Amino acid sequence: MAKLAEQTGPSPASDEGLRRLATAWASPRGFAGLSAVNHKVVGTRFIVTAFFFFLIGGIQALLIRLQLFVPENTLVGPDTFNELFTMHGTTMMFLFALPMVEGIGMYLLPLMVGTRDLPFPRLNAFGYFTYLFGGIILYSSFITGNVPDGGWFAYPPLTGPEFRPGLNLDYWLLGVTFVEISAVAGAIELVVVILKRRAPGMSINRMPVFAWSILVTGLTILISFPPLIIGSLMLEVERKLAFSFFSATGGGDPLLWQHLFWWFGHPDVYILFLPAVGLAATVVPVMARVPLAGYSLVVASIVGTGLLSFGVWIHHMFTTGIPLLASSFAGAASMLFAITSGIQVFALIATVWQGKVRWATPMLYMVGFLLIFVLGGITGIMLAAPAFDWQVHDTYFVVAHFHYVLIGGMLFPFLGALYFWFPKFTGRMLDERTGRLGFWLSFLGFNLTFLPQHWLGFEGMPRRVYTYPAGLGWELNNFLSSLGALMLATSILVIMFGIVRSLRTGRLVSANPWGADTLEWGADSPPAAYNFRSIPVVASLNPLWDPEGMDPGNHPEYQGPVVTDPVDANRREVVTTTLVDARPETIETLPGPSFAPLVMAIGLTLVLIAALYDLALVAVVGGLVALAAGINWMWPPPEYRQ
Amino acid sequence: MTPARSRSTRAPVMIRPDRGGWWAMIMLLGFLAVGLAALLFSYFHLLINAEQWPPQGVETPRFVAAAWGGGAMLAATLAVYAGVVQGVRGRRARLKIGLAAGFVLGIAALVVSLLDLGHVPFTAQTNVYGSLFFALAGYIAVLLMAGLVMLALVQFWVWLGFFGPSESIALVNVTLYLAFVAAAWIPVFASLYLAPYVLGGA
Repeated sequence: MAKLAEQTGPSPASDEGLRRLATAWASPRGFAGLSAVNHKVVGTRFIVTAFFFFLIGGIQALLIRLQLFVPENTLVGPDTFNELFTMHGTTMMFLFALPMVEGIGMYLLPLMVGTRDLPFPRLNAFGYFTYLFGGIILYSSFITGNVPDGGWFAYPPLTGPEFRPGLNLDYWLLGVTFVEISAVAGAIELVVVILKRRAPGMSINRMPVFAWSILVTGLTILISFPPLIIGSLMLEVERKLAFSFFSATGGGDPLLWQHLFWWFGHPDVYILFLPAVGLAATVVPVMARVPLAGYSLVVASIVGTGLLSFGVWIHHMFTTGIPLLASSFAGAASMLFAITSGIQVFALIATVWQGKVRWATPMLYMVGFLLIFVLGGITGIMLAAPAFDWQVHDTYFVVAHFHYVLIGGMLFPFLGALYFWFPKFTGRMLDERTGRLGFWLSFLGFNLTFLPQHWLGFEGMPRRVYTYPAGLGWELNNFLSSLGALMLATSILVIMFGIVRSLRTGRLVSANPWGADTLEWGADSPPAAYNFRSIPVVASLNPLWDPEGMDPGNHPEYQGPVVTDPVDANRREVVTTTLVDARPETIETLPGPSFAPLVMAIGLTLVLIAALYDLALVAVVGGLVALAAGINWMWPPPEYRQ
Repeated sequence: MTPARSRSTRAPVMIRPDRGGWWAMIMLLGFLAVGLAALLFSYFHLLINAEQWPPQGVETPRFVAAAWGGGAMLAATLAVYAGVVQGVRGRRARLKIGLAAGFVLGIAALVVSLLDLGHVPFTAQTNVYGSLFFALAGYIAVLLMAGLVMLALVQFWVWLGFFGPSESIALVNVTLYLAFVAAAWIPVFASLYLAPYVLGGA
């Protein structure tokens, strides 16, 4: 452990230097922990909260499947069923998948690119609280009896003021918008840390694939979230203030919502999938013990996927009467994903081919990801043909397709990543036995749940029906599917059991138990608050594998020393490097812990509640609280005095 | 602290790519620009599908007052820019004058715009045209209000002695933001006030 830590650059001059570093970067504990801003603290909060929401969304899915276990079941009524599938989709997309992606990025990226924290630590903490409060607002609808029930894409006119009075959709529109603010804040953090805080020497051709995937993801978030935020606000003022954008009676057009939603919604799929590719392309080479095959091609395909993702939203609207020419273009563009995804999949296969694979749990999940995602990709190519889509649109075929893409393309790689980085997060290995059992249960359970749904779709079973009559030939496939869901749920229990047990009794590990190549494995397990004793200097794409990978002598451009052994124990100094070559440029001081982000999020939550229930005074109070917190947050430190 | 810092002060004032905060502002502006694009997309989507634009019985708003408002916004940006250029060279009096002039012009722009919105011959509830009109004009007005809050705070801190040659990112960012709002106003003005003339509705 010590050896690898020393490899990360010249050691601090003395124990005193290390002590100061620890003091400068320490996070407060106890109640004051709410003011913590460290990327590992906030990232862990994101991951744990997202997992909690995953369990809630999973329970909803289980209820859906239990209701469909047998024909004409009466476990839940039609209204409850509407609420269940709406909140299941909303929870999984907005409260689980994206926060999980960002949480993992927030935790890992500063370590992976060799810096001490994210560039705007307080914004990061603020993002977490808006996410948490947005999620709580959405779920408080269960207490107030206003559970959203318009589906996760909330199409008007069903969700407009005429057909859905009441506050149900207002909870959805405002709650989701609040959560999206958090997502955008996180995206800015992640993009800037990749652009400007890479370790000296980590030029863009030495950037880990995961960093590339998060860079593209972050930029995609910045371009795809505004239309949904704007669209949600438009629908909200249509509901509350009688504007007309989407209602035909006022001259509006319900299809406009679909355009705005899928302008967001389609890239969102890649926002979830690309980080998973980055994770797989990080884990598979380590488990196969060879560098990734075709690094440049994989990076190019990731960038290409990000660009293409904006050209295909029409394929969600083939059955809306959109002109055939537009459909044809969107269909053709959608098929291009076969090329970009093909490159990623074949690069991973080639890596495995070259290497000598260790079949530990992370690798099992990555192989599961490849198998399931390829199947989801094939049905995706089928659906990209408008004529085929017309036949199966809004049937269980589509449900099967997107669960193959999202569970295969997001959940499996993230479970693999959890097993892979758990020792880094906690200093202990995750239990392999429960890991393998959990994998096989989840892999088989997943396929048992969703494979039969393809046939259900072909047989004409529409999605979102709360029950079905006997005698249509849907019984067996529904039965199998529900059985699979129970198996999948069992696998999650097994995985959770393994996690809880390993947290207490897992084998203690050194800094780099997998013998991995990226910088985070050069830090302690779990990493110290300041991440690295000295800011590493990088001379290779696989810095911990190449003997010369971290030797400053290989850097004629290195203008050191920029090692931040703080002179003043109150300063959190980080090195800023140039965009392309990562030459050291300047030293910036990051702000420390603060309650301002929490107070600001509380103020904005008050504004949100006021908007829901038309409470003008509460809105003013909330706005002033948020403003005061903002002023406190941004107050310049004394050294900014001229 | 490093030779790099002195090099960056020689770079053009509005380009500070060595600072994380500069990039955050660029990202924020990109995000807001896409938001505007979504609104303009909505406007033209509904315009193209309408038989007549503005719809029958709605008078096209007069653009003189709105043009004055936009002009004031542009002038405010220029005043702030001029002040900041001087400020990063250490001329604090000129910095204060520029920021104050920008703030007054910005308030004038906001007041003119809001008064103008009060006088258009339709409301947001009249029909889809009215709703889009207020959504787009409202977007710019909200962005401007946020900019004026930022400008007021930065100004306040400048009076307290903060920001200048050695720490200028807040000055640079507030200028970039105001320039963005002024630039965003141009397509909104062209779409709301001029497009009906060009497209034959008025």
